[in-house]
Amino acid sequence: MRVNFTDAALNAVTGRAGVSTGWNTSTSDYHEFDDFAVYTRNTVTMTGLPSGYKLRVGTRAAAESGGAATVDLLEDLCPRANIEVLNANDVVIARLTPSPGVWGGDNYSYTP
Amino acid sequence: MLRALSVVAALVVLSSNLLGQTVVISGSVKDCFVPGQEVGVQQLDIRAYDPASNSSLVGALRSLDTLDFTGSSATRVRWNSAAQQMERAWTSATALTHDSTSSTGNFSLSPPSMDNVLIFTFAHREDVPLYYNYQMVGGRSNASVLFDMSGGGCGLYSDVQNGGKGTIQRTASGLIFQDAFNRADGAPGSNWEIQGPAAFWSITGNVLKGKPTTGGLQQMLVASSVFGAARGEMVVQARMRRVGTARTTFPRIQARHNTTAGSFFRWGIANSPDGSTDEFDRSLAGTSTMLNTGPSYNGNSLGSSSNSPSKTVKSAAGRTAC
Repeated sequence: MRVNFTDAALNAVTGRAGVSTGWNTSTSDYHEFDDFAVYTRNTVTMTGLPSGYKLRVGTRAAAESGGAATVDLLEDLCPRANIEVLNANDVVIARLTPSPGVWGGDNYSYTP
Repeated sequence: MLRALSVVAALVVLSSNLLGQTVVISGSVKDCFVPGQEVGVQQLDIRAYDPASNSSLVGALRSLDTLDFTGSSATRVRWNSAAQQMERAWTSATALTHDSTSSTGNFSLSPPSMDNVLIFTFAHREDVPLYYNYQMVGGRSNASVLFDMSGGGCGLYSDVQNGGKGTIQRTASGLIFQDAFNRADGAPGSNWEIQGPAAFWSITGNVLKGKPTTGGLQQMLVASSVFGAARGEMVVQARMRRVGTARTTFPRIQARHNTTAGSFFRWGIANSPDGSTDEFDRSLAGTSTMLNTGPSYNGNSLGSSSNSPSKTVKSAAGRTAC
Protein backbone atom coordinates (compact mmCIF):
# COMPACT_ATOMS: atom_id res chain seq x y z
CA MET A 1 0.00 0.00 0.00
CA ARG A 2 1.39 3.38 -0.91
CA VAL A 3 0.05 6.85 -0.35
CA ASN A 4 1.34 10.09 -1.82
CA PHE A 5 0.91 12.92 0.66
CA THR A 6 1.05 16.46 -0.67
CA ASP A 7 0.53 19.47 1.46
CA ALA A 8 2.48 22.12 -0.35
CA ALA A 9 0.00 24.98 -0.40
CA LEU A 10 -0.14 25.91 3.22
CA ASN A 11 1.19 23.45 5.63
CA ALA A 12 4.10 21.38 4.44
CA VAL A 13 4.43 17.88 5.68
CA THR A 14 6.52 18.02 8.79
CA GLY A 15 8.46 14.96 7.92
CA ARG A 16 6.89 12.43 10.21
CA ALA A 17 5.58 9.14 9.00
CA GLY A 18 4.95 5.79 10.51
CA VAL A 19 2.43 3.09 11.27
CA SER A 20 -0.48 2.90 13.63
CA THR A 21 -3.13 0.46 14.64
CA GLY A 22 -5.82 2.11 16.69
CA TRP A 23 -6.82 0.49 19.94
CA ASN A 24 -8.23 -2.79 20.94
CA THR A 25 -8.74 -4.80 24.06
CA SER A 26 -8.70 -8.12 22.30
CA THR A 27 -5.51 -10.00 22.87
CA SER A 28 -6.12 -12.38 19.99
CA ASP A 29 -5.73 -9.78 17.26
CA TYR A 30 -2.49 -8.35 15.96
CA HIS A 31 -1.26 -6.42 12.95
CA GLU A 32 1.73 -7.06 10.73
CA PHE A 33 3.82 -4.59 8.72
CA ASP A 34 6.67 -5.13 6.30
CA ASP A 35 8.68 -3.22 3.68
CA PHE A 36 7.98 0.18 5.19
CA ALA A 37 9.54 3.07 3.24
CA VAL A 38 9.26 6.81 2.80
CA TYR A 39 10.49 8.68 -0.25
CA THR A 40 10.18 12.12 -1.68
CA ARG A 41 8.02 11.69 -4.79
CA ASN A 42 6.38 9.09 -6.97
CA THR A 43 8.40 9.94 -10.08
CA VAL A 44 11.91 9.21 -11.37
CA THR A 45 13.65 11.75 -13.59
CA MET A 46 16.60 11.56 -15.97
CA THR A 47 18.38 14.37 -17.80
CA GLY A 48 20.91 14.36 -20.63
CA LEU A 49 18.93 12.13 -22.98
CA PRO A 50 19.52 12.51 -26.74
CA SER A 51 16.57 13.25 -28.95
CA GLY A 52 14.18 10.33 -29.29
CA TYR A 53 15.58 8.38 -26.36
CA LYS A 54 13.46 6.98 -23.53
CA LEU A 55 13.77 6.39 -19.83
CA ARG A 56 12.44 3.08 -18.49
CA VAL A 57 11.91 1.96 -14.91
CA GLY A 58 10.50 -1.53 -14.65
CA THR A 59 7.73 -1.74 -17.23
CA ARG A 60 7.07 2.00 -17.31
CA ALA A 61 8.74 4.22 -19.88
CA ALA A 62 8.69 7.89 -20.84
CA ALA A 63 10.08 9.64 -23.91
CA GLU A 64 12.50 12.49 -23.51
CA SER A 65 11.40 16.06 -23.99
CA GLY A 66 14.04 18.72 -24.05
CA GLY A 67 16.60 16.13 -23.03
CA ALA A 68 14.74 15.03 -19.89
CA ALA A 69 12.20 12.32 -19.14
CA THR A 70 10.09 11.56 -16.08
CA VAL A 71 8.52 8.20 -15.28
CA ASP A 72 5.52 8.06 -12.97
CA LEU A 73 5.80 4.89 -10.92
CA LEU A 74 2.03 4.77 -10.38
CA GLU A 75 1.21 1.60 -8.43
CA ASP A 76 4.68 0.07 -8.51
CA LEU A 77 6.14 -0.79 -5.15
CA CYS A 78 9.64 0.57 -4.54
CA PRO A 79 12.46 -0.09 -4.90
CA ARG A 80 12.68 -1.05 -8.54
CA ALA A 81 15.73 -3.05 -9.55
CA ASN A 82 17.19 -0.96 -12.36
CA ILE A 83 16.85 2.05 -14.60
CA GLU A 84 17.42 1.93 -18.36
CA VAL A 85 18.06 4.21 -21.30
CA LEU A 86 16.45 3.15 -24.58
CA ASN A 87 17.07 4.55 -28.01
CA ALA A 88 14.33 5.44 -30.47
CA ASN A 89 14.01 1.78 -31.44
CA ASP A 90 13.43 0.76 -27.84
CA VAL A 91 16.82 -0.94 -27.68
CA VAL A 92 18.44 -0.82 -24.26
CA ILE A 93 21.50 1.37 -24.58
CA ALA A 94 22.52 1.57 -20.94
CA ARG A 95 21.31 0.15 -17.68
CA LEU A 96 22.13 0.92 -14.08
CA THR A 97 21.36 -1.31 -11.11
CA PRO A 98 21.93 1.06 -8.23
CA SER A 99 22.12 0.22 -4.57
CA PRO A 100 19.73 0.29 -2.74
CA GLY A 101 17.50 0.22 -5.82
CA VAL A 102 15.53 2.83 -7.74
CA TRP A 103 13.19 4.92 -5.59
CA GLY A 104 10.58 7.53 -6.31
CA GLY A 105 12.19 10.95 -6.19
CA ASP A 106 15.49 9.71 -7.60
CA ASN A 107 17.17 11.92 -10.21
CA TYR A 108 19.61 10.51 -12.77
CA SER A 109 21.78 11.91 -15.52
CA TYR A 110 22.81 10.19 -18.71
CA THR A 111 26.03 10.98 -20.54
CA PRO A 112 26.13 9.44 -24.06
CA MET B 1 27.52 -9.79 -50.32
CA LEU B 2 29.96 -7.82 -48.30
CA ARG B 3 33.24 -9.30 -47.29
CA ALA B 4 33.91 -9.69 -43.67
CA LEU B 5 36.27 -7.05 -42.45
CA SER B 6 37.00 -6.09 -38.91
CA VAL B 7 38.65 -3.08 -37.50
CA VAL B 8 39.42 -1.81 -34.06
CA ALA B 9 40.64 1.57 -33.00
CA ALA B 10 41.75 3.04 -29.74
CA LEU B 11 42.12 6.65 -28.78
CA VAL B 12 44.16 8.12 -26.00
CA VAL B 13 44.16 11.69 -24.80
CA LEU B 14 47.55 12.17 -23.27
CA SER B 15 48.09 15.17 -21.07
CA SER B 16 51.27 13.78 -19.57
CA ASN B 17 52.44 10.72 -21.34
CA LEU B 18 54.33 8.35 -19.13
CA LEU B 19 56.78 6.88 -21.59
CA GLY B 20 57.33 3.21 -21.28
CA GLN B 21 54.34 2.57 -19.05
CA THR B 22 51.37 0.65 -20.31
CA VAL B 23 48.02 -0.43 -18.95
CA VAL B 24 46.09 -3.60 -19.66
CA ILE B 25 42.60 -3.24 -21.10
CA SER B 26 40.99 -6.61 -21.36
CA GLY B 27 37.49 -7.52 -22.29
CA SER B 28 35.13 -9.62 -24.31
CA VAL B 29 32.78 -9.24 -27.26
CA LYS B 30 29.36 -10.86 -27.08
CA ASP B 31 26.42 -11.18 -29.41
CA CYS B 32 23.12 -12.99 -29.61
CA PHE B 33 22.83 -14.36 -33.13
CA VAL B 34 20.03 -16.52 -31.77
CA PRO B 35 17.78 -14.55 -29.42
CA GLY B 36 18.59 -15.33 -25.82
CA GLN B 37 21.74 -17.31 -26.66
CA GLU B 38 24.76 -15.22 -25.79
CA VAL B 39 28.01 -16.20 -27.52
CA GLY B 40 31.51 -14.76 -27.78
CA VAL B 41 32.36 -13.17 -31.12
CA GLN B 42 35.65 -14.56 -32.38
CA GLN B 43 38.23 -13.16 -34.81
CA LEU B 44 37.00 -9.64 -34.37
CA ASP B 45 39.63 -6.92 -34.62
CA ILE B 46 39.85 -4.70 -31.52
CA ARG B 47 41.92 -1.55 -31.66
CA ALA B 48 42.93 1.21 -29.29
CA TYR B 49 43.10 4.82 -30.56
CA ASP B 50 44.26 8.16 -29.28
CA PRO B 51 41.14 10.36 -29.23
CA ALA B 52 43.10 13.59 -29.43
CA SER B 53 44.69 12.70 -32.74
CA ASN B 54 41.59 10.99 -34.14
CA SER B 55 38.88 13.54 -33.53
CA SER B 56 37.14 12.78 -36.84
CA LEU B 57 36.67 9.17 -35.79
CA VAL B 58 35.35 10.18 -32.39
CA GLY B 59 33.05 12.73 -33.99
CA ALA B 60 31.62 10.19 -36.42
CA LEU B 61 30.97 7.71 -33.60
CA ARG B 62 29.25 10.36 -31.52
CA SER B 63 27.09 11.27 -34.51
CA LEU B 64 26.09 7.67 -35.04
CA ASP B 65 24.96 7.50 -31.42
CA THR B 66 22.33 10.09 -32.11
CA LEU B 67 21.04 8.68 -35.41
CA ASP B 68 18.70 5.81 -36.18
CA PHE B 69 19.30 3.68 -39.23
CA THR B 70 15.65 2.67 -39.30
CA GLY B 71 14.37 6.20 -38.84
CA SER B 72 13.04 8.65 -41.41
CA SER B 73 14.63 9.00 -44.83
CA ALA B 74 16.31 12.23 -43.75
CA THR B 75 17.72 10.48 -40.68
CA ARG B 76 18.99 7.60 -42.78
CA VAL B 77 20.81 10.04 -45.05
CA ARG B 78 22.58 11.53 -42.05
CA TRP B 79 23.26 8.06 -40.68
CA ASN B 80 24.84 6.97 -43.97
CA SER B 81 26.98 10.11 -44.02
CA ALA B 82 28.18 9.49 -40.47
CA ALA B 83 28.85 5.83 -41.24
CA GLN B 84 30.96 6.76 -44.27
CA GLN B 85 32.82 9.36 -42.25
CA MET B 86 33.51 6.78 -39.55
CA GLU B 87 34.82 4.28 -42.07
CA ARG B 88 37.08 6.89 -43.72
CA ALA B 89 38.40 7.96 -40.34
CA TRP B 90 39.06 4.36 -39.38
CA THR B 91 40.95 3.76 -42.63
CA SER B 92 43.28 6.68 -42.01
CA ALA B 93 43.68 6.29 -38.26
CA THR B 94 46.72 4.74 -36.66
CA ALA B 95 46.02 2.42 -33.77
CA LEU B 96 48.10 2.39 -30.64
CA THR B 97 47.71 -1.34 -30.40
CA HIS B 98 45.29 -4.04 -31.45
CA ASP B 99 44.20 -7.59 -30.79
CA SER B 100 41.91 -10.20 -32.32
CA THR B 101 39.21 -11.81 -30.20
CA SER B 102 39.72 -15.41 -29.16
CA SER B 103 37.35 -18.28 -29.79
CA THR B 104 35.42 -17.16 -26.72
CA GLY B 105 35.37 -13.49 -27.71
CA ASN B 106 38.04 -12.33 -25.28
CA PHE B 107 40.77 -9.79 -26.02
CA SER B 108 43.58 -7.93 -24.27
CA LEU B 109 45.24 -4.64 -25.20
CA SER B 110 48.27 -2.90 -23.70
CA PRO B 111 48.23 0.75 -24.82
CA PRO B 112 50.53 3.39 -23.31
CA SER B 113 49.33 4.92 -20.07
CA MET B 114 47.30 8.05 -20.81
CA ASP B 115 44.16 9.83 -19.67
CA ASN B 116 41.67 8.21 -22.04
CA VAL B 117 41.70 5.45 -24.59
CA LEU B 118 39.11 4.72 -27.26
CA ILE B 119 38.50 1.02 -27.72
CA PHE B 120 36.81 0.41 -31.05
CA THR B 121 35.74 -2.56 -33.10
CA PHE B 122 34.23 -2.52 -36.57
CA ALA B 123 33.47 -5.22 -39.11
CA HIS B 124 31.54 -5.57 -42.34
CA ARG B 125 28.81 -8.14 -42.00
CA GLU B 126 26.26 -8.95 -44.63
CA ASP B 127 23.40 -9.11 -42.15
CA VAL B 128 24.11 -5.91 -40.25
CA PRO B 129 24.25 -2.36 -41.70
CA LEU B 130 27.18 -1.39 -39.49
CA TYR B 131 28.69 -3.91 -37.11
CA TYR B 132 30.67 -1.82 -34.67
CA ASN B 133 31.01 -0.81 -31.07
CA TYR B 134 33.23 1.44 -29.05
CA GLN B 135 33.93 2.59 -25.54
CA MET B 136 36.04 5.35 -24.06
CA VAL B 137 37.89 4.14 -21.01
CA GLY B 138 40.29 5.66 -18.57
CA GLY B 139 43.83 4.84 -19.62
CA ARG B 140 45.70 5.40 -16.39
CA SER B 141 44.85 2.05 -14.86
CA ASN B 142 43.89 -1.43 -15.97
CA ALA B 143 40.29 -1.73 -17.11
CA SER B 144 37.84 -4.24 -18.53
CA VAL B 145 35.38 -3.71 -21.35
CA LEU B 146 32.30 -5.61 -22.44
CA PHE B 147 30.99 -5.08 -25.95
CA ASP B 148 27.43 -6.21 -26.59
CA MET B 149 27.27 -6.27 -30.37
CA SER B 150 23.52 -6.88 -30.28
CA GLY B 151 22.98 -3.27 -29.25
CA GLY B 152 21.51 -4.28 -25.91
CA GLY B 153 19.46 -7.23 -27.10
CA CYS B 154 21.60 -9.66 -25.15
CA GLY B 155 20.74 -7.87 -21.94
CA LEU B 156 24.39 -7.71 -20.97
CA TYR B 157 24.35 -4.21 -19.57
CA SER B 158 23.71 -5.16 -15.98
CA ASP B 159 25.18 -1.90 -14.85
CA VAL B 160 27.27 0.93 -16.13
CA GLN B 161 30.47 -0.68 -14.97
CA ASN B 162 29.79 -3.60 -17.25
CA GLY B 163 29.61 -1.49 -20.32
CA GLY B 164 26.85 -0.02 -22.39
CA LYS B 165 26.89 3.20 -24.34
CA GLY B 166 27.14 6.14 -22.08
CA THR B 167 26.96 6.51 -18.35
CA ILE B 168 24.01 6.67 -15.98
CA GLN B 169 24.59 8.37 -12.68
CA ARG B 170 22.25 9.03 -9.80
CA THR B 171 22.41 12.72 -8.98
CA ALA B 172 19.82 12.82 -6.20
CA SER B 173 18.26 10.13 -4.05
CA GLY B 174 14.56 10.07 -3.30
CA LEU B 175 14.75 7.55 -0.48
CA ILE B 176 14.19 9.09 2.93
CA PHE B 177 13.77 6.03 5.09
CA GLN B 178 13.43 2.30 4.66
CA ASP B 179 12.88 -0.54 7.07
CA ALA B 180 12.13 -4.06 5.92
CA PHE B 181 12.40 -5.31 9.51
CA ASN B 182 14.84 -7.96 8.37
CA ARG B 183 16.88 -8.20 11.53
CA ALA B 184 17.04 -10.06 14.75
CA ASP B 185 13.78 -10.30 16.57
CA GLY B 186 13.17 -7.67 19.18
CA ALA B 187 12.25 -4.04 19.56
CA PRO B 188 11.96 -1.75 16.49
CA GLY B 189 15.14 0.20 17.29
CA SER B 190 16.31 3.77 17.67
CA ASN B 191 15.11 4.96 14.26
CA TRP B 192 11.57 4.55 15.50
CA GLU B 193 9.76 6.65 18.07
CA ILE B 194 7.03 4.69 19.81
CA GLN B 195 4.03 6.60 21.09
CA GLY B 196 2.26 4.36 23.54
CA PRO B 197 3.36 1.17 25.24
CA ALA B 198 6.63 -0.07 23.81
CA ALA B 199 5.57 -3.62 24.55
CA PHE B 200 2.92 -3.24 21.86
CA TRP B 201 5.52 -3.52 19.08
CA SER B 202 8.00 -6.25 18.25
CA ILE B 203 9.83 -7.70 15.29
CA THR B 204 9.24 -11.39 14.89
CA GLY B 205 10.12 -13.47 11.87
CA ASN B 206 11.34 -10.40 9.93
CA VAL B 207 7.94 -8.73 10.24
CA LEU B 208 6.89 -5.88 12.51
CA LYS B 209 4.00 -6.91 14.70
CA GLY B 210 1.71 -4.76 16.75
CA LYS B 211 -0.19 -6.64 19.39
CA PRO B 212 -2.90 -4.76 21.26
CA THR B 213 -2.65 -5.09 24.97
CA THR B 214 -4.16 -1.85 26.13
CA GLY B 215 -6.51 0.90 25.04
CA GLY B 216 -5.36 3.94 23.09
CA LEU B 217 -4.02 4.75 19.64
CA GLN B 218 -0.83 2.80 19.08
CA GLN B 219 1.67 4.60 16.86
CA MET B 220 5.23 4.09 15.78
CA LEU B 221 6.81 7.00 13.92
CA VAL B 222 10.13 7.37 12.17
CA ALA B 223 12.31 9.63 14.27
CA SER B 224 12.09 13.26 13.19
CA SER B 225 15.86 13.48 12.90
CA VAL B 226 15.69 11.10 9.95
CA PHE B 227 13.51 13.45 7.91
CA GLY B 228 15.23 16.78 8.36
CA ALA B 229 13.32 19.78 7.06
CA ALA B 230 9.60 19.87 6.37
CA ARG B 231 8.61 19.00 2.85
CA GLY B 232 5.58 19.50 0.66
CA GLU B 233 5.26 15.95 -0.52
CA MET B 234 6.27 12.45 0.33
CA VAL B 235 5.24 8.87 -0.44
CA VAL B 236 4.74 6.30 2.28
CA GLN B 237 4.45 2.60 1.56
CA ALA B 238 4.15 -0.60 3.55
CA ARG B 239 2.74 -4.04 3.30
CA MET B 240 0.29 -4.81 6.06
CA ARG B 241 -2.10 -7.42 7.31
CA ARG B 242 -4.59 -7.78 10.09
CA VAL B 243 -4.82 -11.07 11.88
CA GLY B 244 -7.79 -11.81 14.06
CA THR B 245 -11.51 -11.30 14.14
CA ALA B 246 -12.12 -8.06 15.99
CA ARG B 247 -13.31 -5.17 13.80
CA THR B 248 -12.44 -2.29 16.07
CA THR B 249 -8.86 -1.79 15.07
CA PHE B 250 -6.87 -1.93 11.86
CA PRO B 251 -3.30 -1.37 10.56
CA ARG B 252 -2.52 1.93 8.86
CA ILE B 253 0.33 3.97 7.47
CA GLN B 254 0.39 7.65 8.21
CA ALA B 255 2.08 10.97 7.57
CA ARG B 256 1.94 14.04 9.74
CA HIS B 257 1.54 17.66 8.80
CA ASN B 258 1.79 20.74 10.90
CA THR B 259 -1.50 22.56 10.81
CA THR B 260 -2.26 21.36 14.28
CA ALA B 261 -0.04 19.49 16.61
CA GLY B 262 -0.71 15.85 16.24
CA SER B 263 -2.83 16.02 13.09
CA PHE B 264 -1.98 13.51 10.43
CA PHE B 265 -3.15 11.61 7.42
CA ARG B 266 -3.80 7.96 7.89
CA TRP B 267 -4.47 5.27 5.34
CA GLY B 268 -5.08 1.64 6.05
CA ILE B 269 -7.29 -1.34 6.07
CA ALA B 270 -10.68 -0.11 7.08
CA ASN B 271 -12.90 -0.99 9.91
CA SER B 272 -15.22 -3.26 8.00
CA PRO B 273 -13.20 -5.51 5.77
CA ASP B 274 -16.16 -7.71 5.09
CA GLY B 275 -17.24 -5.35 2.31
CA SER B 276 -19.98 -3.51 4.12
CA THR B 277 -18.05 -0.26 3.86
CA ASP B 278 -14.92 0.97 2.13
CA GLU B 279 -11.99 -1.26 2.75
CA PHE B 280 -9.53 1.57 2.97
CA ASP B 281 -9.92 4.42 5.35
CA ARG B 282 -8.43 7.87 5.27
CA SER B 283 -8.74 9.91 8.37
CA LEU B 284 -8.83 13.70 8.32
CA ALA B 285 -9.22 15.90 5.28
CA GLY B 286 -6.17 16.75 3.25
CA THR B 287 -4.40 16.15 0.01
CA SER B 288 -3.40 12.58 -0.18
CA THR B 289 -3.59 10.12 -3.01
CA MET B 290 -3.70 6.40 -2.69
CA LEU B 291 -1.15 5.16 -5.18
CA ASN B 292 -0.98 1.53 -4.52
CA THR B 293 -3.97 -0.12 -5.18
CA GLY B 294 -4.50 -1.98 -8.24
CA PRO B 295 -5.99 -5.27 -7.72
CA SER B 296 -3.46 -4.86 -5.30
CA TYR B 297 -4.36 -4.98 -1.78
CA ASN B 298 -3.75 -8.67 -1.64
CA GLY B 299 -0.73 -8.37 -3.90
CA ASN B 300 0.91 -5.99 -1.49
CA SER B 301 -0.38 -7.34 1.73
CA LEU B 302 1.62 -9.72 3.77
CA GLY B 303 -0.63 -12.51 2.71
CA SER B 304 -4.18 -13.65 2.64
CA SER B 305 -6.29 -13.43 5.70
CA SER B 306 -9.90 -13.75 6.54
CA ASN B 307 -9.91 -10.01 6.93
CA SER B 308 -8.32 -9.17 3.59
CA PRO B 309 -10.54 -6.72 1.76
CA SER B 310 -11.31 -6.99 -1.90
CA LYS B 311 -13.89 -4.35 -2.63
CA THR B 312 -12.95 -1.60 -5.07
CA VAL B 313 -13.28 1.97 -3.93
CA LYS B 314 -12.18 5.35 -5.24
CA SER B 315 -9.52 7.34 -3.53
CA ALA B 316 -9.84 11.05 -2.97
CA ALA B 317 -7.95 11.80 -6.15
CA GLY B 318 -10.04 9.46 -8.21
CA ARG B 319 -7.61 6.65 -8.61
CA THR B 320 -8.96 3.18 -8.29
CA ALA B 321 -8.20 1.54 -5.03
CA CYS B 322 -8.86 -2.05 -4.19
